[in-house]
Amino acid sequence: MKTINQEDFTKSLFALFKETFESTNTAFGTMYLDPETGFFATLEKIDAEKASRLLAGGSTTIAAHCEHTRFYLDFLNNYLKEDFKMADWKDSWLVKTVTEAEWTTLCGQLHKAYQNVSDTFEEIETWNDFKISGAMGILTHTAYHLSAIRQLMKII
Amino acid sequence: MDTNHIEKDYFIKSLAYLLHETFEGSPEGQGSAYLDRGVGIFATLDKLSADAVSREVNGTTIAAQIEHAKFYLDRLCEFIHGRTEKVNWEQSWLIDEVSDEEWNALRGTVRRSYENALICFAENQNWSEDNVGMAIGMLAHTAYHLGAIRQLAKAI
Repeated sequence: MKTINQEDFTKSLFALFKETFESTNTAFGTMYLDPETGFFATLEKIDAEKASRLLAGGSTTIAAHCEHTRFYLDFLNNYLKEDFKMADWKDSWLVKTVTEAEWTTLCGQLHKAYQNVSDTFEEIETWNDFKISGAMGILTHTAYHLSAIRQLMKII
Repeated sequence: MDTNHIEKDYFIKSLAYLLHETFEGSPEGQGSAYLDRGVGIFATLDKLSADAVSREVNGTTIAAQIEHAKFYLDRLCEFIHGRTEKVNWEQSWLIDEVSDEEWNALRGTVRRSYENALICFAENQNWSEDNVGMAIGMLAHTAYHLGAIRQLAKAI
């Protein structure tokens, strides 16, 4: 077999992406996260002050992880739409601390970035090599930072 | 290639590339998909002693996190190979602390699980929706625990 049914790939990918943000995954229950530990449920428990708290030792803030995750989502969303602009990745780490208003805005931007990527996934008709790798990179990168945030949340 | 199918090779190569980066870090001379240089699982674990990985932070240890990630990889490979017997996931959390000898052994088994997963992806002929989902889930789950391990490593 040299091909895979596209729907088998997209259903799995979309479900895991949804699980990462929304804590639910209609296809599998949850595949890799405990209940209510997705991005949005996690951020709801964090206020701006906590999101801005820097640990001793110079670790990164939760706000910084969120902004970096959003930046990556937006960049890869453009990539999936074949808009191959270069990015200066240092720009993805510019946010360190946030006010309550900025935190609300940042969480909203993350919701929007997630929705945009979800929409792009749905719009793709032909999943070629760079779209497959880009989409799986989005999932992997987001999972990595979600876990970092959840650990920071326990320490601060 | 029609719009109802994707090339199996594209999917396997993307899986292998991202799993390779997760364990071994991004390849020299090539762009990284989602990690900074030198922060894969092996490079991270190699810097840590048995004492460090046994130290409890946030109710967990690095030894526990990596044993759980390894257990998940092993079981999902078995499911992809056709396992139907249920898994007792509590068994994935049995290790909390390790001696120097146990830590060396655990790192060795992690490497074997990673290599076994790559072989599993390369040799599998049945890419059903379930198997595609489990393979992508292995990637997301491993990245998730790498994110946790790297935060814990900063805190110990």
